[in-house]
Amino acid sequence: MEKKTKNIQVRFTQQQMELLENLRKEGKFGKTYEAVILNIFREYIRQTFGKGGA
Amino acid sequence: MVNDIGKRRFHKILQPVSGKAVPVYKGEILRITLVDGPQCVDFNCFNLHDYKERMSVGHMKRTGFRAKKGDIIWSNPPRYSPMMAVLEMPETCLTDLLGARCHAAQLEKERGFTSTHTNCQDTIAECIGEYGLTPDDVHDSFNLWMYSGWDDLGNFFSNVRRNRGQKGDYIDFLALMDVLAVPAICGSGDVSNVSNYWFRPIKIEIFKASTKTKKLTQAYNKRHTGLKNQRKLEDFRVKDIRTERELKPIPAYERHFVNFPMKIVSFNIRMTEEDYTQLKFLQLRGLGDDDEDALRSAVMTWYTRNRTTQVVPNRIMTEAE
Repeated sequence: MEKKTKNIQVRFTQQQMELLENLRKEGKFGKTYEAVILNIFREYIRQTFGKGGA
Repeated sequence: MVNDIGKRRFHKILQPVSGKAVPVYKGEILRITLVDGPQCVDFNCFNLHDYKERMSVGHMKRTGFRAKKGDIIWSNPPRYSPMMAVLEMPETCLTDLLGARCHAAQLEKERGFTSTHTNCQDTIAECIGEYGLTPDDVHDSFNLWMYSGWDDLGNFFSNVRRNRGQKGDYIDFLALMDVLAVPAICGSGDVSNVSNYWFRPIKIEIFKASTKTKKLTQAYNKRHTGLKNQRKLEDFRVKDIRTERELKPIPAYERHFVNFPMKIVSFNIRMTEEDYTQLKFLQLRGLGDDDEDALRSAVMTWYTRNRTTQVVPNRIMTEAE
């Protein structure tokens, strides 16, 4: 059974895009901006609240 | 401690309540010594070749309210040049970047001195007057041997502790550019803990550049310059210093803001139910007013925490705290 998903629209400024581009180039967080955004979000949750999340 | 410093080329005892503006050239060391025990010293610093570039205490505050050994005296943006490095500072010395500088009107307002009480604004103004600068050119001080304090509510206490400076304590500043350095004996020391209700003399000395200090200067400059946005006068759109005091708009002047209008890029992020639950929790914890705000804030907070030199606390405080 397919997991439920939710689409979130998020906007970034051209300056924030420079930083996302840095992360995208690193390659660790995904090849697309969408993947980078989602993976960094998960990293933030893990780093801030531990494995149990927020 | 730097052993191989150059020959002393200047020395002077500054008596209460005076100061002195002294040129200190790149690679030279300015030493300020407590001659007779605890004494707060106010310090100003200008680019010797362009007085509009001066120490920016405000920007030094961004990394802490007490500059210490190893820290840099930075100039005002958009230049943001390293002007001096704090090479030596004794443990007994606490410094202060919050207290600005005492001035006569403040001492009149707070303590009722309708006669003019000695104060750092007037002392420094007298010092820089020797170089044709006006009282308006005095800037906020880097306060040496000033044991101020503050609390989480934002209250500032300039006199919360007694001065713990010791006779013979000294601070060494290494000039990373040619500067006009202005140490002054704090003028409010006789009416506050700032200098334990007394005034004491200080000694200032300048040591010529040595091979060692030249190398150190080079190393500091290599580390702290080279940013594209550390601008020079030639980068300014408006370069000339006004001579008229009255402000009037320049006809046909066009404002050229950076990255204006700001471009925006939009993404659709597909989240799992678990991701979305976490996003909602973030909002409950005060990080973001809606889904987009929370997601963007989480991403940018992570970046700031992990890819910049800024310190971000693990938990962002909410207004309620």
